Amino acid sequence: MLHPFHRSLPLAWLLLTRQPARLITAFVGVAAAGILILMQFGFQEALFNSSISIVSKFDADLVLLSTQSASLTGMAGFPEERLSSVVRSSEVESVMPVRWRYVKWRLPGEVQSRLAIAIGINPFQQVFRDSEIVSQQKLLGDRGRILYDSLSRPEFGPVQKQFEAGKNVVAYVGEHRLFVAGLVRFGPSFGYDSSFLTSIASLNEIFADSAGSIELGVVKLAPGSDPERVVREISPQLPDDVRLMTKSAFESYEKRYWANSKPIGFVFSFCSLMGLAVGAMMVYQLLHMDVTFHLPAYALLMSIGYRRQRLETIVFVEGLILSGLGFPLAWMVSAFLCYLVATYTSLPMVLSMQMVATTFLMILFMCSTSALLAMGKIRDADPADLFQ
Amino acid sequence: MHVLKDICLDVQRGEFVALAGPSGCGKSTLLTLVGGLKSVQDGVLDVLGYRLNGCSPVLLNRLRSKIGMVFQSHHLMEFLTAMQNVQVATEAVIDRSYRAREQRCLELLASVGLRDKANQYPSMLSGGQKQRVAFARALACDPELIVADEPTAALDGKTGREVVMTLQSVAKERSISIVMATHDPRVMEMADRVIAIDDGRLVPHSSAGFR
Repeated sequence: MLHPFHRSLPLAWLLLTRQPARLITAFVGVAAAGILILMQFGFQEALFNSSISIVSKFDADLVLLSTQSASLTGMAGFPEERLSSVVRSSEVESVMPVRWRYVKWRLPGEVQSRLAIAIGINPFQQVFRDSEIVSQQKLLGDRGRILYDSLSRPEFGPVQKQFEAGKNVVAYVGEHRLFVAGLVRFGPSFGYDSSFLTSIASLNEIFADSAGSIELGVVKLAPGSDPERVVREISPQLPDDVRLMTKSAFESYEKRYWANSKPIGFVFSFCSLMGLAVGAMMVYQLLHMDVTFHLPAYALLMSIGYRRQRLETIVFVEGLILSGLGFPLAWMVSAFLCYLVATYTSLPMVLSMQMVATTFLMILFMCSTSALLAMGKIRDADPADLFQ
Repeated sequence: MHVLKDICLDVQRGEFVALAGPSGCGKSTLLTLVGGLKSVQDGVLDVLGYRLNGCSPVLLNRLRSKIGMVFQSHHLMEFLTAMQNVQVATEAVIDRSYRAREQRCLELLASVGLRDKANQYPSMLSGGQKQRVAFARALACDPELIVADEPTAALDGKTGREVVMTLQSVAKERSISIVMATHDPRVMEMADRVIAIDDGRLVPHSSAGFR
């Protein structure tokens, strides 16, 4: 079975390269399918990663949230006293309240306001493990101070530029004036384009009607504790309006929300399949035409004792060659496009090795399937025709 | 409809049999049957010890790998060199090493006088040279039988005879039988036996209108 690949005449390669124009078309087709799939994966991963970019910076083992919260884009509040139900456990080191609210952000002189995420913390508790935040969070002790996300979309105004130029930057949330006291880096997501960190007290001034209510409880366990076991132990004692999750379970929950509950998750998968289908059609078309064009050669090979299985192997190898040729180009172009998108949108567009390997397997499958379909054409090769 | 009727033909090992007859008489049909390229509908056909009536595709393939075929047109693959065109036939014989097959191809090209043309593509060869490469290809699988369908038809008389002479001498050396359809009386003269076909039947050679 290895014979066609090992130390033999590279017939598949020679047949493919005989018509350079068609080869280039198929090569571009495979690459285009690869780019489409890789970019979809890139966007999907960016969607998932960006949705948890802030949570992933929590210095936490567990997260307490309302049972009504479906995702970070739709957080429901719960009474802050619920934290005391968690703190009773001897393995809990600290429990910190966090507010998580959408606010309407606007710079002075602008009429239009935009939705941003405001995260309220106690400035004297270490909610985040990010040193950039830890070193600045005390500034939030003064009312109305914020740490602005420097990776916010540019439509939110030249906040970073002005702040770095030493100017006093003021923004409005409703009628409330906020002062930028520092910059942090969270990055936008598909659910919000900007965010800032402030104190719970400052947020409670804006949302006076929900003062005393919080959206998240960030729980830190004593060293050596097993988060899952603690969740199992504490959960039965919690009131019905809250639930406790490990941080990683919460992140998975958020990713699942985007993958399953929002149409965008389906759209990404669908676009990947579309890319695969279009690529498969292009490769099939080329291989079918290639077999048709070389029917006399296949007939000759049959007349000199080549079994049909060996001829089919040649077509199959042609498919493998196309995937091997097209994929590296797809990878290079996609990596460059991801860099461009990440630079422009600040979305965490990264092509992980797992994504690259998965895409390569998909391309391999696409080319193999096309080759298997094109093999049928070999049946038309009749060595008896050579006598005419 | 029967194209061939009452054909009874035995070919001895190393024998050169020329098939004569007018166009459309059934020469090519007989060759396709003998070459295992078409199955027999009626009658009995034994080739190299294989009974071809209702023969399985696997068996047909095995038979084909023991028969060298030469066609009216050389049917060389234009994208392969002379050497590679011969090599293609040796690759069907899977029980040899690559190096041994390569060596064998060079020997075959040398035996048809084309050792120095091994790396040339068909487009760089003359008609006679192309047909010689086709002969070398037919010999590549160590055949016991060579089936040739008017291999000199596209060549001028002199070149045609030279080419057949080359084939004949290599075949004699290796005791390979040749069954060759031809219209060329001088090629017929070179054959050990001439058999004529007319209207699908074997007829005395003189009655086929060639001599």
